Amino acid sequence: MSLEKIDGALFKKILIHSARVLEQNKKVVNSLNVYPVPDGDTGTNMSLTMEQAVAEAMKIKSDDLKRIVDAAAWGALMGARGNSGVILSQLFRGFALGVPEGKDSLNPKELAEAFKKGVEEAYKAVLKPVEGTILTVAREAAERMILEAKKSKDVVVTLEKTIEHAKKVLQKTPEMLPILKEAGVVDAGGRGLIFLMEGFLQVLKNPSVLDEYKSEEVAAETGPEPANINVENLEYMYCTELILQTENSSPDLETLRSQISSLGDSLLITGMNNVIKIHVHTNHPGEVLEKALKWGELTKVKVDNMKLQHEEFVKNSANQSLGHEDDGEVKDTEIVAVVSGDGLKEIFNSIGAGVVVEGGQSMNPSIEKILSAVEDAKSTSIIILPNNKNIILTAEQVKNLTDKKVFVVPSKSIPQGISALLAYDPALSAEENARRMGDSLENVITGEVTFAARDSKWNGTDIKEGDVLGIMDGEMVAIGRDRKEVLEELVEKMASKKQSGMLTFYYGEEVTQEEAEDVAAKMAEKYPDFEVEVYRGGQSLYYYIVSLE
Amino acid sequence: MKNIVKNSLGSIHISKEVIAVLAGNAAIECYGLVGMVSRKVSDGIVDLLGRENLGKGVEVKVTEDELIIDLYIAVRYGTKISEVANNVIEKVHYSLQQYLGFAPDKVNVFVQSVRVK
Repeated sequence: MSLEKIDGALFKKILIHSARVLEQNKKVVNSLNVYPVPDGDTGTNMSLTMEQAVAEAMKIKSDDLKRIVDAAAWGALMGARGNSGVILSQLFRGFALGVPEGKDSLNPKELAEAFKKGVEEAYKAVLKPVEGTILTVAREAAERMILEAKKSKDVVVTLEKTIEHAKKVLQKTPEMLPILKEAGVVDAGGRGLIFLMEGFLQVLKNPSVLDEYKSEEVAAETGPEPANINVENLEYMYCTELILQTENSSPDLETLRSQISSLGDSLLITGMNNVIKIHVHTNHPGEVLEKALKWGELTKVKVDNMKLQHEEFVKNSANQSLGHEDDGEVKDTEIVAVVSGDGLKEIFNSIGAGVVVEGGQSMNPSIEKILSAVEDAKSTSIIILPNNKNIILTAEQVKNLTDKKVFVVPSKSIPQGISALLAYDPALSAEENARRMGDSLENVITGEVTFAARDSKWNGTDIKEGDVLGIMDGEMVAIGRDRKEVLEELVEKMASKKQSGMLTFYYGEEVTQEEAEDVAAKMAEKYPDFEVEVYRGGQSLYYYIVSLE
Repeated sequence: MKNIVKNSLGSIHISKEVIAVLAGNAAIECYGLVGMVSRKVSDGIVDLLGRENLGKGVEVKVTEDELIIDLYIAVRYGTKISEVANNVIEKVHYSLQQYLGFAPDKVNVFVQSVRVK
């Protein structure tokens, strides 16, 4: 059966169905999105743009082709979302310009010319066209369509040939745009455009395709609400998604499907040439990956625990229904502290640090490590306590890498960190807290007893490897062979700075509890004006960390 | 200053001009944007001299704790201007983050002209 013309009634169906095909495949398009900004929303944006185009077109009650096309173009323009959405709207706009007034149907040649006009208009709206995008695919497709329309009077044949060519061009987009090649994907917008054209073709071949999904929609509407899912009955726990690049350029998807279908349900396998996307709910994501590996290289893998997702969902909806209890000023602040030693970690946790990152002297945590702690924290305002002067800068860098509000309180030592934590008041804003905590750093004197890692010189004194050093606020004030003697000398120096206060000892992993308590008892006797406390810090490198405030 | 990246060994200073060129180049790749509009006299002189000025239409403001990029653009008639401007902001923010290692605090777009032809 050959089809020579497209009229208004058919064009409406084409719009509805191609929008639907794109909607159904938007995740595929999203997964390809790396340019211009890799935010994975190209498919969603194009789909929303199409949705508006369809909605406007449906407002036209008659089957007047020109009016329908104009309405769709207007809808696309108003609904344009994202870069690809704006481009799509321009393709529509140009297409509408290419359909003459009073026209009631389009033959292949007229269709091709309108498409070409669309591309021309679309190119006018960009200063520096980047090749390898939806624009390239559209341009090549339009040119091929003009050519094919000369050969055939059948719209179906013309469009089939055009799509075939468009797919070839799409495959070449990684060669044109290096960023695509790096990511191992074809252009997302171009892929979206081809989904639209495929929807177009499906309607031409089978105009009753629309009736088929009427029943599906009814079924979907009466389906269970997500909130009613019984988590206990969740048969498969992990939503597993992966993108697979096969060596074989035309893999047998059916075989792959049968291999994976036994591992779970909700299986979805979509593929184009040698890129395949697999989506499945399973209890054995590992097995799915193994099976997939036999087919080629994995480029993207995502495994979500649906049970947790569901709990999150229920929690969120519960929160929403409760209303915003804690709106207004964001007081919800979390403190991320960099600490080494299990005892100190516990102490930090117990006095209010939400997240503790392992690290300290000679084992500075990476920016990534602090960043991920910041990102994982539930609140949007974060205060970081680096607790070491070498980590302060690292912490500062994190500020620029996250959308969260991050404040760094430049604590140079564990005692300063603890002092800052004690100054924290949950009733205040993060900003105010950061200032208060910063001010509190001055109130504490830090003492550290450690050992020399190698021979060196300090202020004319020779230091030998293994010598015990007493450090007060970063300055070396005592040196010796015995850690108890050095500690005593150090505390003497510290005590001379203050009349009274609280003297706290955190002993390290190499010091026994007996020794520490013995020392503390001696100190309590020697300095009756100070209140002495002793805790296990469990830190390495430092025998004792002493705080005086 | 916000355009200085420090590490334990030293610091990296990135000039406003460099940031302007990067931002300008990122912006002109955006669909719907058909030109950068100069607001500075010096840009006008450069135009007269016929030299290519990649940072044209871009103003970079750096303070102690903020980096702000102002972009003066021309858009194509018949595009959804708000969306084009949004895309420009996203693209410039993303590109600067990629190239510089830190993102601007604000990217402001001023649509100065709309081109019909």
